[in-house]
Amino acid sequence: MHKKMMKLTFWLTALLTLFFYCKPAHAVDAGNNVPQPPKQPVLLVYDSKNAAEHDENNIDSLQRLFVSLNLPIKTMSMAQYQPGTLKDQNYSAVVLMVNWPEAHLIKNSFVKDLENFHGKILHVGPSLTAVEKQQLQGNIQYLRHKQYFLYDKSNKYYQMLDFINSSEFVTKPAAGSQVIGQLTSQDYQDKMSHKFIPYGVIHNNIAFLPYFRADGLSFLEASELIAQFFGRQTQTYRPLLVITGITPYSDLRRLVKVAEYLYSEGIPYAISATSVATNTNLKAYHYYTLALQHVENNGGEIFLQVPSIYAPDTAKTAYTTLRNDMTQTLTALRDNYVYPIGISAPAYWNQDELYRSAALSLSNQILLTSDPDENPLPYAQEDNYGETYGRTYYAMTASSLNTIKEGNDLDSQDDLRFSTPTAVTMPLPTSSKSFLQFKRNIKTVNLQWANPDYGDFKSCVQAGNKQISFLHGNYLVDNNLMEVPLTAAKIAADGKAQVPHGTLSGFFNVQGIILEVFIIIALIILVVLFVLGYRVYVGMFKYTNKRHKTTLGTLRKLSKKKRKEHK
Amino acid sequence: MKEKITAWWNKFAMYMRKYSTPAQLTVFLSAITITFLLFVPPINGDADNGTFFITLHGNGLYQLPNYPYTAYSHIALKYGIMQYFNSYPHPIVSTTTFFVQIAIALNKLFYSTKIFDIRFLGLTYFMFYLGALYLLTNAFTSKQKTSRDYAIALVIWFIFSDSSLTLFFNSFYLEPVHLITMLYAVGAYGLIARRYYRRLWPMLIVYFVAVFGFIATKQQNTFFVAGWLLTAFGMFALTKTRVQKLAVAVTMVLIVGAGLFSNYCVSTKYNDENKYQSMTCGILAESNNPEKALADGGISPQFALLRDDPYFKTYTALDVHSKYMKDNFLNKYNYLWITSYYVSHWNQFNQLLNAAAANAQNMQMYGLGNYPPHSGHPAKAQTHYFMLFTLAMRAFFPRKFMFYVLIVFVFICFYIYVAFKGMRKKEGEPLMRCMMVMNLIVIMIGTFFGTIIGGGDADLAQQLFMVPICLYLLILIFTVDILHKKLW
Repeated sequence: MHKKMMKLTFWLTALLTLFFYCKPAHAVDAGNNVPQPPKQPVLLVYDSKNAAEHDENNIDSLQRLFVSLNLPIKTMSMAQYQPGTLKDQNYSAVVLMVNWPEAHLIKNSFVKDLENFHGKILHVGPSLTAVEKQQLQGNIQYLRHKQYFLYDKSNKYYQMLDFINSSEFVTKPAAGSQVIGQLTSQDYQDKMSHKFIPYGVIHNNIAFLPYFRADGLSFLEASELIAQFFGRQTQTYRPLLVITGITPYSDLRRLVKVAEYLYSEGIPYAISATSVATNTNLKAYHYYTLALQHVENNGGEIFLQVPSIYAPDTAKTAYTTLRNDMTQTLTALRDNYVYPIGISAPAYWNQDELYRSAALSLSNQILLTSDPDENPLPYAQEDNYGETYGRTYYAMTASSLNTIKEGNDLDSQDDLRFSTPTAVTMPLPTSSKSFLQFKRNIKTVNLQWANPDYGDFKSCVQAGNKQISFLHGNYLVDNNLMEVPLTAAKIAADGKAQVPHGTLSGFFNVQGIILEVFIIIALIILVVLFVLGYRVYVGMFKYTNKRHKTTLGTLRKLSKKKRKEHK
Repeated sequence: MKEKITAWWNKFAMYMRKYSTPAQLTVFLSAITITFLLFVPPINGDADNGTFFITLHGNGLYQLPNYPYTAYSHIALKYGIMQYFNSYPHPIVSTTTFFVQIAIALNKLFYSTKIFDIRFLGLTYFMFYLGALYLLTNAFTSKQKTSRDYAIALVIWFIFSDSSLTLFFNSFYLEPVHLITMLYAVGAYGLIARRYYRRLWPMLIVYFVAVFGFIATKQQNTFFVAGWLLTAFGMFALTKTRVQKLAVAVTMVLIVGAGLFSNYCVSTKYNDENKYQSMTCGILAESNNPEKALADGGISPQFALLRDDPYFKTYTALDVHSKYMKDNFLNKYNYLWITSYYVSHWNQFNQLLNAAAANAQNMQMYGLGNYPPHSGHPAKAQTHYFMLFTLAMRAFFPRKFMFYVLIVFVFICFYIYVAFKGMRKKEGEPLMRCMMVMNLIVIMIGTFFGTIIGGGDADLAQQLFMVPICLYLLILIFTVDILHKKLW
């Protein structure tokens, strides 16, 4: 009887799992193991962007990290902070980020609100406030001029951090605190005594990170702390290899070679590629989709990258314009057997109401890369609110991982812990030399890569009136299974079209002949005119009664009528 | 009937002779017409099509932020003058700067040092324009003030006070500078040829300053150096001594120098845009096989996907300013490449030429308003105040490029004969007239070619401004010669 109940339960559950369906944007996928986003967002208050040190990268990195952990985040600078903003009913947690401690930009009104706040508090950077020190307890020291090495929990990986001018550090955490990562310096005393101090500290409702960077080991440790602090630490993720910088104008043969190489090495990967909304009937577009199909058939998945913006669209029709652009792009791709599994965009797209609603809402799987160096960023309707999606990847470059050293040798990094869905990006090689470098890099960054075919997360992308989904390695359009045609032969043969063949030689021949004929005709005319002119000139000096015998005389005779009129 | 008209006309001329010369008549009538257009409310001008900011920022002006500044639909009357620091690093080197700076100086004297009213720019252009009309009328009329001369004066007024031309004065486009310098050059040249004034050197200075100003207005005007060289060559007919011949030769070299100056120093901000669009909106737009067109020229055929894309497109798959785009697309071709492509694909070029010819007479750009906001006129409203002549040309002039070629052919035939005859009689003036006609022809046809090669089918109406101007000048010269019976 008991066994029958178990069997029944088992089959019921199996039946229920068949009824997975996709909701784009705010949906939570049951198979994702990421809990519901809280009703109230997290508030991130930073004192200064400190653009001289490029600290705005750290701000957008934090924003992406929270979004990736399914925590919606609202950002404001200390200058924009109004008293009374930080209330328990408005925000579930607050992050205070100090980038420029020397400027003393923390407002008193903020500190006052912080005292009355009962949610979680995370402090990033130096300049701990009194409230936070009180909550952190433990032994907090103010240390100057430190060059630290950060070690992870297992003591296996370490990285040298940037020079820290001055900051507080929790040298002895209070009882009951959790410690993430350890710092040690090269100071003589510390070295001799093997002294370690904690990097990240969590104590009840407060967490403290004295140093934060957007990538490298410090980021991995920081993300682990934040995931743990906000109760998200349910699993470690494998990073996803993403090849970036692919456009319809890239060298498609190289893209195909990269895809084939990664497939032969058994490395699962994804690519982030832009596409066009117009001119989709041209042969050039066809070649592009052939190359993308080839990637799909060689173990790669495709993220559609949002277009680059020349200048923000402020017309009333901005939403429709962008929405139509994305829809046409996706529909054309869908019609050509290219099935993107998500949308990739720079971080600022998620902080802008227009770009979110028109573009990012089309999918439930988003890849957020760090903001470009443009200043100012082309925001259309900036609202500084980071929306969450079914799954958001945090992108970091592979080169940043190279700074992480491991124990004695520089090989296998597969014990690195990624606490959120992470994408490790490498740019598409642009020459055969950089292709060799690319292969070498793959071997150096020897991580265990994530395979999008596994897992129970069903990604959806809305392409026009049909929905593209991806689950367990299968492409579905409106829940119909689609096959991507094999195009290997075509690409190889059509590869010839990529090579510019110099037919200019034939062209120059034609041009040469035309030029010769033209010059000869011109010369003939010139000679004739010269002769005539000479005769006229000479004739001016001849005085003879028989003028009609010269050319001039003949002409005069012929134009007698006209001469009369002239008189 | 004819006798009645001529009798009446002679009476009119006799009456006019007491009060004014033909040139003064033209100037007087033009002043009235243009003042009503430009300065009497509702003020007319040309709205911004997005390119004003280059001229504005290069001259220390900026668009007022809270002003109801509505590009395309209305003209903006007020601009701000930068007070402390001009953060835009590209000063404009162009003849326009000269006029705008004068206007700013007038503005600061009489109005305000913080707000710039565009009517001061209109006033500057207006003053110079009246001077140009005065010279032009003198060049085409005789000193005897015959009734024929008054007829010519009225014709000049009718053609050149036309609103399509003068609307540009209340705007920051480059066209009014073209117009003014061209008229000064033609007028001064005619006066030199006919020895109208006793001393030659003032007109010579005016002429060369005007030519230099014309060439230095925008970078594409470099190619018109050839035309102006022809006119300088015509001046050899006047020279008697070796010193004079040397002087003419030196000025020809100076004109070439002006061309070089224009090519390298005059604002290059438009360059990438024009280069890009001459490919995407020109070659790729009409081609049947854009991939092959690119591949044959050594550019990746994938760039065919840029077809019909303007340079300032909001959403692009690849940033047009990126290094990849520059290295693999923009730097792989130049105007020589484009020219040779068109030579080998004559059909496509012909299509584009016809498209250009259909729009050549449209000087009043469609889609740009002529009224300021709150003037009671809807957005993008266009005025038809004194436009009989250009409206007629727009309606009736054939819209095929072949017709322009035909006109050119006819003019060449006529004027080569005129020059020939003049040389026989050892007169310099017909030769100089012929050279000016050749110059106008070169500019007219050159504008067509230059616009298509240099920018594709984008922005056609504005770029083809010189075509109707040269056409009107040709018609004027022809009419004057017929009236004065100098043609045969």
